[in-house]
Amino acid sequence: MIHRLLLALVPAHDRDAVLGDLNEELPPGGARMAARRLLALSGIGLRYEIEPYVGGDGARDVPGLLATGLGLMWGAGVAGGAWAGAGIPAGYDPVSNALLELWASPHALGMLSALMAGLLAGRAGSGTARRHVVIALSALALLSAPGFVAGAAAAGLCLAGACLGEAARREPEPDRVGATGF
Amino acid sequence: MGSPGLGDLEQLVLLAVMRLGDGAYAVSVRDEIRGRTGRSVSRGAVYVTLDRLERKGMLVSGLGEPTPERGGKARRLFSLEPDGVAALRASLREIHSMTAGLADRLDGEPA
Repeated sequence: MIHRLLLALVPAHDRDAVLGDLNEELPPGGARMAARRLLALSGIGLRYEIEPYVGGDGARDVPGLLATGLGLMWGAGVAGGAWAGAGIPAGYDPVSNALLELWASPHALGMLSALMAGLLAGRAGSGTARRHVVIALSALALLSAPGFVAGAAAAGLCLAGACLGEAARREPEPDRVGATGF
Repeated sequence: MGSPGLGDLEQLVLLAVMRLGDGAYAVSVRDEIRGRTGRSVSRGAVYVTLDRLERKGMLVSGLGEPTPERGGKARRLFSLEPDGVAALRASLREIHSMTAGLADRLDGEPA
């Protein structure tokens, strides 16, 4: 199925028509599932070619970019905190500095930021990108929070936030590839 | 030879488009070829051939109406251009001239 889809898509310049043909020929959901699997297996170039047809939840949408940006800022702050703790002077980056101050304040704020970062990352972004961001954020939380217990708690909150975000974004999906309004 | 030579699959695709008339698009062309010749052609090969024939000016395409069963996507419908008909005629003439006098050997069972 995946190879047939790949062969059909790659050489064709009118991909809307090709996807319509696939929708017509394959059983409902078949083409869509194959396209999703293809996305998971394909390189980044092909991913960006096909992703708009599979669904509108790509990493290029505004919430996805916002979540990724906030997550990275939060990660930078945590990393800044870790570096400062290791004796490397902070202050090279105003964003990291500001977030470092937040993180250094009561732990609750750090935990809350872990939860929020997970929630935002889980709420938006494409499947693969979302997983990567959530894993990276959880690892950052685990490794950089002061103490193992605090780190584990922060990582747990990040994962919980991601699950909540994922549940919040789940919605009925049409069973056709690239269906209008998807 | 006055007209450009057609490949085997190009001939089949042009003939399928001619047979299908207004309903010629990639899926129906593929089904027509499979139904009449028993030859299973890949989707990719059909798309590439249709595109190539359109670039050569033998086919012209336009979009049909989007339908729900196609996920809101329109069909790309193809029709023959005069150059396509001329190329088919030329191919047919070549086949006729090459097979002239060989009917008894071609109709018999292989040795």
